[in-house]
Amino acid sequence: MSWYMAARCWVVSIAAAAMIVVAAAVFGSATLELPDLFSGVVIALPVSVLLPAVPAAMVLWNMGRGEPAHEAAAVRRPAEFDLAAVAALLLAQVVTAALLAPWFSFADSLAVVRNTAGYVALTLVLSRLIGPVVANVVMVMFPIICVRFGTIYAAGAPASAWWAWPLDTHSSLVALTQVLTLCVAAAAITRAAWLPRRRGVPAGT
Amino acid sequence: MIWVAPVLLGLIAIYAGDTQPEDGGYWTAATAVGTLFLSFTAPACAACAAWEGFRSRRLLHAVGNPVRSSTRVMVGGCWPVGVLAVTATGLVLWLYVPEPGTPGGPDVAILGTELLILCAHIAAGYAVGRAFPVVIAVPLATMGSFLVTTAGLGLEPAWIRHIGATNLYNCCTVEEIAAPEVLFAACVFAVGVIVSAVLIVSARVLVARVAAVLPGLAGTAIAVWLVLPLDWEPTAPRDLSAAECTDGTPRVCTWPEQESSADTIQASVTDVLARFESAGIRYADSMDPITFAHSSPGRIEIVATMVGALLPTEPADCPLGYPEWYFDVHERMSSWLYLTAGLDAGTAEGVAAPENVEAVRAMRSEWSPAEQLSWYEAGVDALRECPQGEPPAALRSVTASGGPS
Repeated sequence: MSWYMAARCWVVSIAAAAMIVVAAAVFGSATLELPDLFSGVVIALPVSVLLPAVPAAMVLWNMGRGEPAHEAAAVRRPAEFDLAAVAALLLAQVVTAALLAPWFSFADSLAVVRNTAGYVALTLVLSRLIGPVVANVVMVMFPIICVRFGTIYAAGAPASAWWAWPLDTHSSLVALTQVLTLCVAAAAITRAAWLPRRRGVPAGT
Repeated sequence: MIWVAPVLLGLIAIYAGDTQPEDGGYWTAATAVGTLFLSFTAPACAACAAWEGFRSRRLLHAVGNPVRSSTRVMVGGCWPVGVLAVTATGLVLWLYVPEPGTPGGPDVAILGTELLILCAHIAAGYAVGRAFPVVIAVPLATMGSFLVTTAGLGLEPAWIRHIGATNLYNCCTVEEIAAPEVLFAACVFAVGVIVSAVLIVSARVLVARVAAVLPGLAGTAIAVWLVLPLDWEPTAPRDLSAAECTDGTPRVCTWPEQESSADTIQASVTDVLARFESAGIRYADSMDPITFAHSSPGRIEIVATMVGALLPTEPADCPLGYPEWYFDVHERMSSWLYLTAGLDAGTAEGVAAPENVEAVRAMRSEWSPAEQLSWYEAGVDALRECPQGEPPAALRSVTASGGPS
């Protein structure tokens, strides 16, 4: 087990995930103003929505560090180990959020955990279908796509479209349902032996 | 990269329909609008370059140290990405080519700056691809490049927008060119990044890699120093020697782009000046020479430009600020000049509130020309100085509720 953890470098990602919760709490509602030059509207990308994409992108690096041919024949099941490690990563985020609770909103931190889970699940699903590199690129673009196309400028406060779950508040059941569905799909597709693991990344790079 | 090209070129083609250059009949504006598409082209190039960086590193592991120098390996991996950059830039330029007959050609300085910026993104992307695992490097290069080309436009100090040359997209009217400082600063910044990236890639020890950041920092510092005196506008006035001027006072100058409509412009200006003269308005020195900002100005634009030159600009840093009546006076002066120049009240409502236009209309029908002129001159004097509490007595007689009291 310790060899597995060392080989996969999970500690780095788990530490990064915890740091992201702290950073998102500190920056709070800070936004990156991206002028949408073509429509003349300024799209505000909250930092706390973009940051969870960092640990999510690192997860595929961790999981790609082994040799697929060897792992396919391993006695232990690396897929299950990996899923457990992702669960540990999210648990580390929840613990960090709880530690930060006296100073920062626990519920807002949980929204960061939800978004991390969603991004990880999204990239895990995509990586089996289109390869890990493109999956990560798509996943990193997803928050921007949500802000650009998923924000509805109705009367009053801008709302988000139903599918733009990273933008929803911590109490949104629709967002939570989508993330949980994605997580189930990610777990199933990661364990699926019939779907080839795509990579093109030799060990050690 | 074969897969990136159609996506990038398709995106550019789709979005090009949504945005128009500042002046479609002016080559500099048609070239400058292309900088808008850096926010698509640069991330695509950076992502491809990061992939190339990963591939060269994979060879390092699989084959061993290359015989060629790391710079040559870098150039060998990156030139196809450069072809992508040139293709995308060419497509953008082609989509915005002005109508045939427009004098001049593409603005080479802006195009060159754009390509140099893309080279910097490619070099930086390659360095990221060499330094990080590929599943992280490619998204990092994409997102970083996107944020650099886009987020700077929303940030506060003006130099952040200038050193990336990304706010050139709404440059320029026919009277302006892209500010040379901005282009120069963007080039210096880009060259600094390229030098840093090349040094980082070729450095063998950690200290050298850290030290390799220095040229990039130096380039940034020089670029910031160059554009620090500029305000938000990345433009400079165009040299008047390019324009063709008439004799007489005031001179009327037309730019080469206005050549086809020069006669119409001259006729309109003569007509408006005659109308102003019959109302007793003197030419202000600020009106000489009269130039127009659009390549084919209509009657309304011509009058608006001349009215803008007649009325004084508001004095800076007034201790009491600008009360409501100051802008009311300004609007009434403009609408009086619009009506005097022979435009209808509907057009005047484009620059003034309807009640101000209505008050001026009533005044024009009830007051004698001499009274109107003295009212106008009092107004110009009042606009020239900082407002002091109440409007001057001569102006109070036109009330907002309509008509002279």
